[in-house]
Amino acid sequence: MLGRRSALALIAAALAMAIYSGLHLRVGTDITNFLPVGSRSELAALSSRLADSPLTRTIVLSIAADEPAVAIAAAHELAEHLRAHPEVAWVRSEVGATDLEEVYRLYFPHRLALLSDRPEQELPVRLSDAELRARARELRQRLASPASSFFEPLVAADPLGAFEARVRSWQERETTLRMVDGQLVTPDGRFAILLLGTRSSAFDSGSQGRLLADLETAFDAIVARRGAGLRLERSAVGAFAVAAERSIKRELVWIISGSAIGVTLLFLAFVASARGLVIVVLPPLSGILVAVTSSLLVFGRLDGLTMAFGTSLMGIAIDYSNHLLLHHGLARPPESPLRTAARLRGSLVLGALTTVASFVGLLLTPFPAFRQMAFFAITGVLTSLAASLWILPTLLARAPALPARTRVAAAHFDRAYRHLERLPRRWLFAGLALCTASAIALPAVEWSDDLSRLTRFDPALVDEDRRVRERVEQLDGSRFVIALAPDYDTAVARNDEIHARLEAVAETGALDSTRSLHALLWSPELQRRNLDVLAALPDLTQRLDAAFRAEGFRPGAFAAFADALAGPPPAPLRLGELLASPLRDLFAPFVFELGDRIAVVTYLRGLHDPGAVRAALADLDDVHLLDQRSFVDDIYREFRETSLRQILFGSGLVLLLLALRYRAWRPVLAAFVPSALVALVVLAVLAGLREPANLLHVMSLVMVIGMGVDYGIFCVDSVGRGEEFGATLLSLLLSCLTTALVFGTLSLSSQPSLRAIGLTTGVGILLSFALAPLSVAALRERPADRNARG
Amino acid sequence: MRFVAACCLSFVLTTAGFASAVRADDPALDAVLARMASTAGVETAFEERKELSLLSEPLDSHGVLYFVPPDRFARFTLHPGFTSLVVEGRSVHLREGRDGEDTDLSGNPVARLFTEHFVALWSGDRAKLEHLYAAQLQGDLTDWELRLVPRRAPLAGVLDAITLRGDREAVREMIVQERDGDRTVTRFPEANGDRVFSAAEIERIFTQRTPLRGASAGR
Repeated sequence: MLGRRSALALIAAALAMAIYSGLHLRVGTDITNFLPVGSRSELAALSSRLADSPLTRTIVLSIAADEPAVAIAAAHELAEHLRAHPEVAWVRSEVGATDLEEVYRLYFPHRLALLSDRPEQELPVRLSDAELRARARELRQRLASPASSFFEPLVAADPLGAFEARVRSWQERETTLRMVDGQLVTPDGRFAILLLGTRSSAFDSGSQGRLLADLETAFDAIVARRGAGLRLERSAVGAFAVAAERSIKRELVWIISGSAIGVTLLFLAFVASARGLVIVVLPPLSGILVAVTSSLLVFGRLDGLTMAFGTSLMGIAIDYSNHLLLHHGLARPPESPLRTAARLRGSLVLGALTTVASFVGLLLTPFPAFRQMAFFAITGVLTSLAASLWILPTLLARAPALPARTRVAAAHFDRAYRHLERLPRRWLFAGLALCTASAIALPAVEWSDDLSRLTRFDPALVDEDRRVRERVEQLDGSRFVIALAPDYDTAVARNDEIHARLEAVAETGALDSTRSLHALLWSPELQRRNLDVLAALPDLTQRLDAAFRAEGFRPGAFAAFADALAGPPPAPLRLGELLASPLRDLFAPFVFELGDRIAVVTYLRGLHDPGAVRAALADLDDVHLLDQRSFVDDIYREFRETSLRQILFGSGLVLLLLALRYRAWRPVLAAFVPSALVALVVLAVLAGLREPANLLHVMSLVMVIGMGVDYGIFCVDSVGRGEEFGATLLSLLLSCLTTALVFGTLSLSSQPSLRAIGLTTGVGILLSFALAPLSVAALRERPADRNARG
Repeated sequence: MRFVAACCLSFVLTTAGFASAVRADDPALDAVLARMASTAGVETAFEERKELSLLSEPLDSHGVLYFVPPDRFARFTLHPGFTSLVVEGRSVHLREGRDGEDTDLSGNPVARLFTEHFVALWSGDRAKLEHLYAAQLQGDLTDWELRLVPRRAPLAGVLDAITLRGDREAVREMIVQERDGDRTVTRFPEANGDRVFSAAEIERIFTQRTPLRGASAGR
């Protein structure tokens, strides 16, 4: 029994944990938790990191109005507001004067090194006498154009137009959008477009939620001022995270409420005292408190699914306390709580250990969310067990007596079991065989490994996202080529090679086009090759002068060009320099740090033949074509299959534990068979309902098996000790209904992931309750067995 | 900075064909500005001669200009090659060659400066012009010469002066003198300052971005 001092210490510890959890609890729906970590595969790590990268942190805003000019003005205003927002890293809505000046300052000195990305092939032709003459002719004609304003001042130093070509390339990087009144608009001019990047992860639903709320408020204020049918739409990964969190939080409220009401009613029926209910609920609540606190300490934050799973733990962990409560309350003759606890300790410990065994495998998986789930479950279960064995007896001593109806119900259950036991064994086996026969439906189970189907999003949100993406003709964000390199120079060099190869692939029709860093920068090595080719043409200045003179240019007009050619070349233009300049935002979609390496991304449009792209890039180190969606689906298929194998492994562990405990095949099988049959029947039900089975169904099966084994153990131990079996069945019913209520509400969730857990676990636990006594009755050694043996 | 300044200059060159200007207490300037602002529309051929330090001989070109108040302007160069520059409000589009690609310069700050100048000139925005230039007017409404000298960088760094000559009807000549010696003279020999454009003509010029058939400037 607990002393006063120990009780106070425990209360203080509980308070401390509650305060800590209250201050630090942040529920996220981070998809990266569902991606594997570790060094299992470089692509897995890459995919995991890309899920939280500038690619997912970019938000596209589309603004429409009755008059396009109003939309543009509103976009200007909104952009100004967003630039000052602490959560916004960058806003892209126009090409500013600063950009042009910076382009000139950074690029013009390097114009000779940026003449051609195939200098050895192109430059000898381009710098031939005939081509120089043609260039001079073209230039003279263009000087008559009003557009000469843009290049005439630079012609003397750049008669070959290298800088102008770079500027055009730089300005055309957003080929799908155009500029009107200094604002990016869609090609049809109907929608003003803003692009912005967030500082926080797209899956940090707290930050994203605040930003999106501020965005709506700011836009509402603009609408109030300008009106004119202004409408804002957006495409943002973060919006989905926020919507998912809101949905999960909303559902968690009624899941917890529904569970609490159901459990309360159950306990009022069979325990009939608020104190009894509090006593029984205390150990599982302790388990949840410790699990939340320790998970926060270990992982820093909790995933939404882990939290939902945690609330469901109440249904599992309550088994131990109500088992104790009912056995203590129904004991004849009456006994002390310590005596009851000692009597049931073996069953409770074995039940908890088998549950832990079924979760151990998950703890070893590379998926953070499932590690969290396993950690949460193991911590919660062990804490609940400890609380049941060491705290509950103290509280039970003060619990009121159970109502008479509970004793009556237990007696009914006892009689019902005795009837069952008297049935011919073949009938009992027929029931078990029927369940076993459900195995024939297993081949019909349809497995779904589409990760996107684990979460259900608001169709309106999905449509809005699609509309906005279509307006900006966003490139396929899930399929791209990515190169990894230890430093910037190597990264850009790899990108040069990728660009060259993808251009060749595009010529075959396997790919429509690409969007690449190559439009903005070439590697130092490629820049040097340009200069090398120029250096190999010592008479270029004279030939150029002659060609241009022949077309009416003044002799010596290009002295600035000759000086640049003759002088020492500047150091190559490098990525680091550009990233440290005001132009850095332009590079954000293409270059970012990925761990300790630099990643360069090439976006693909119209990828018709991934095989051709893979083949073209096959011999390049650290270069990958990443089809993220199919890649992740592949990972999940692999993980599901691994999990199914782990069920077998976990079952083996459970069998081992049971064998160590019972050292006889009959009780081992009696305790184990219900859980095994439940797995078969649940899968058969899914096949019968044509409900695609996914990873979470499998995960739930792991849980059901652990709980089912508990029921088997309690039955086997109880019947084996000659105790009143009705008390055991009643406590199991209470636990079963509690769990079914908790998971039953999960099955009503709109989120497929929660529904999968709820359906599998709810159905499974009811079956476990039904099968546990049946299995014991069928397999328990009867006097006839002993006679036959003996 | 030289790049931007140069671009500013070149746009001023383009717009200066319609420049009028300004001294606050000069009623003759008021009359010139008022005339500019009251036009129903302008259609004029232009002949341009650029004397550039790059070229050993002057570069001649010709074409046609249209202005529709308050903020639509189009310049089509027909020789030696075709180019079009079409401005509507703050929208600026350029095409080089009849089959050339249309370039949207609306987002270009230099193009923005161009449109601001343009609107300022034709709306009689004296404050804006006086902010940019010191103006000297000679003559009267029937025969005037206006000299505009940039007040500050970046224009002052590259531009000596813009000289406009005109009469009661319209601007007849514009001379742009740059600091590096380059000089551009644009003449508007057949300017019609009271041209009323039909909807179809406006559609052709500003939507299809094509000069009118039979435009007097076409050759």
